[in-house]
Amino acid sequence: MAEIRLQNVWKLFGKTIAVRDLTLTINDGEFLVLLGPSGCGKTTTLRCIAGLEVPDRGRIIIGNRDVTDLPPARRGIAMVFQSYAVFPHMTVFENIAFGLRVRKFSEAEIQKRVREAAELLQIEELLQRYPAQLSGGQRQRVAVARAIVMRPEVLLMDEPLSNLDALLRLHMRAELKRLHLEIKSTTVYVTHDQVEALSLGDRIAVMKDGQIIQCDVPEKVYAEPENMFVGSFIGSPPMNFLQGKVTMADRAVAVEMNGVRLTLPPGFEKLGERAGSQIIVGIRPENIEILREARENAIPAQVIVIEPIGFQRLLTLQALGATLKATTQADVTLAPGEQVWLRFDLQKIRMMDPKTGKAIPCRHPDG
Amino acid sequence: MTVNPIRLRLIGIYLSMALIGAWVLAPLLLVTFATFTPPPELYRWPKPFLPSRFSTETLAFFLTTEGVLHSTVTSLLVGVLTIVLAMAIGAPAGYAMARFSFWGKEGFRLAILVTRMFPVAILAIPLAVSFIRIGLYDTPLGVAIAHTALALPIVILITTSVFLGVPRDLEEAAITLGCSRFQAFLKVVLPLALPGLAAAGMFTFVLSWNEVFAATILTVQNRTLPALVVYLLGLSPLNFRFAGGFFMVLPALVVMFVIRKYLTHLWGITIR
Repeated sequence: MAEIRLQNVWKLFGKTIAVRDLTLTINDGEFLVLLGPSGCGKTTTLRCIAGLEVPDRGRIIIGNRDVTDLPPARRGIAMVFQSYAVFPHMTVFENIAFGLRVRKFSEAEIQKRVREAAELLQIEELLQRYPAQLSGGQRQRVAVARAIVMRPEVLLMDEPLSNLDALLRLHMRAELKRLHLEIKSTTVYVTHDQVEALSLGDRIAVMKDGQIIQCDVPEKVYAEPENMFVGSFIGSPPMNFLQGKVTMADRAVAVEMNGVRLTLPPGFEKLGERAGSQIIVGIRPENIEILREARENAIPAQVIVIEPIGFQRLLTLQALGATLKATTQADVTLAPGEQVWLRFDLQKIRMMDPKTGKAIPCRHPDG
Repeated sequence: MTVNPIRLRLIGIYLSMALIGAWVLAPLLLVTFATFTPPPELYRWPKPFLPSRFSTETLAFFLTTEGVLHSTVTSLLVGVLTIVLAMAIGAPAGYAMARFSFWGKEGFRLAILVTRMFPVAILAIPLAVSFIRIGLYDTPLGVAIAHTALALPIVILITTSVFLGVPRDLEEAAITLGCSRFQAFLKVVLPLALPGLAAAGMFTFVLSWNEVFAATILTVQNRTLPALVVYLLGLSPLNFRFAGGFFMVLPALVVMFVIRKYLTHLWGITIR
């Protein structure tokens, strides 16, 4: 099939830099998610791969073929648009058959392939209908069928689920994952929804200001964000960030936050080099344990708001002069205003440099 | 008793609407009544408001008048030629305005309208002279060219709005499915734009059908219908005038009714 290589791609719109010196290799058969806030250049990157935009600099290689100067038709790609872009003047059948007809496939082959694609997306009964008679979810399926019927080497999807309601989105998400396992096209998927990215991607490329900040498997991107932006963009609620200062006492590294000392376990020795300097401690809400009484290395806090969110509770807490979010089991009884103590799972905290916002490597990879 | 001020406002709005409507419609109505009135009744005093019986004699008299048939054919011919020319030039311009951003786009948009600033009266004489030189004088094509110039600004504005109404995504989807830009236009954009383009065409036709000044100056033998009617107006009896007016207004009324939907977004505001 096809590997996609983006080499130092630049794209400018007037004076705005949409994509800045982007280099990325997407493996054959991989499901790669481009994730980022609106205006981060993710859609432009996708459109450059599609050939709908021509990069100002850099090369795009699909399966060992330099396609930078080729029109979309000759790149072996198919694309699913955010608006579905289903042709309103054609039946579902003709929509799905469109690409095959343009490429002059035989009628028998067209019939066969359209039926196959329709079956894969469970829209066989809709083939004779017009798009106006379909629901949003059904149109979405038509758009996907129309793309995969081409058996593209590369399947591009631009926020395909963002126009669906929440329940349908959840359903289609799983469908797309199943589909990818069946058709095995190299897939590039653009979204601003971090949950979608985490659930779908083999790898996630987090983008900001036209650049890739971090590109890794979902588990890594979630647990070990490369910088504060990634930590705050991925996860709901996002990672907590606390200001502190590195101190050394009895050869143990500690972080002093608003007068409270947090002694770090073995493995953080390397951080000792930074003794005396400011640091930011990042911790995910689920890695904070709520205690009812003071313990060693626990941080006093006050409960501000309690939000039940089904199987969990989302707590807003005041601690160390900052506001924190933490999640607990739903059966823990707490009241607003209550005094509690927080114990951080110190294996899962992430240290950041306050100036650059970047993560500081301070532990061994296995630590 | 107190009157709800909102209701009072509403009454005011409707009243003024009725007034403006009547200003335009009352003469049309009177002309229509007169057209279907038997000729002797037209000269009676006082003239009855409603005809005593439905009669097509007046209309028949107009249509059988020497030259009317020939002029009608000329008018149709000029109208069709104008549609062809105006669409051939205007639709691509509208497409470009809707799809591309290019240097001087806003200037171009303004320049389109500026062409309408010059009164036809100023343009007509030099035009007639030029046409005589190149042999277009007194031909349907000559009149059609002049009408095309008049129609183009509106045609470009309408077609811009029509093409804006066809989502760019559809065109791009066709391109990613293997179409060239031109194929995508033919297979996707054109079928979807067709109703709107037809409206622009009809509008052009009405403009040409009703245009008097250029047509009068640029023709002698091959007069279009309005040119002929204007020429004969002073010399003709009442029934000719009424029937002529009715006959001239009819296509415009029908066309306006059909295309009114497209005229509401004449200014190229995207409709989704």
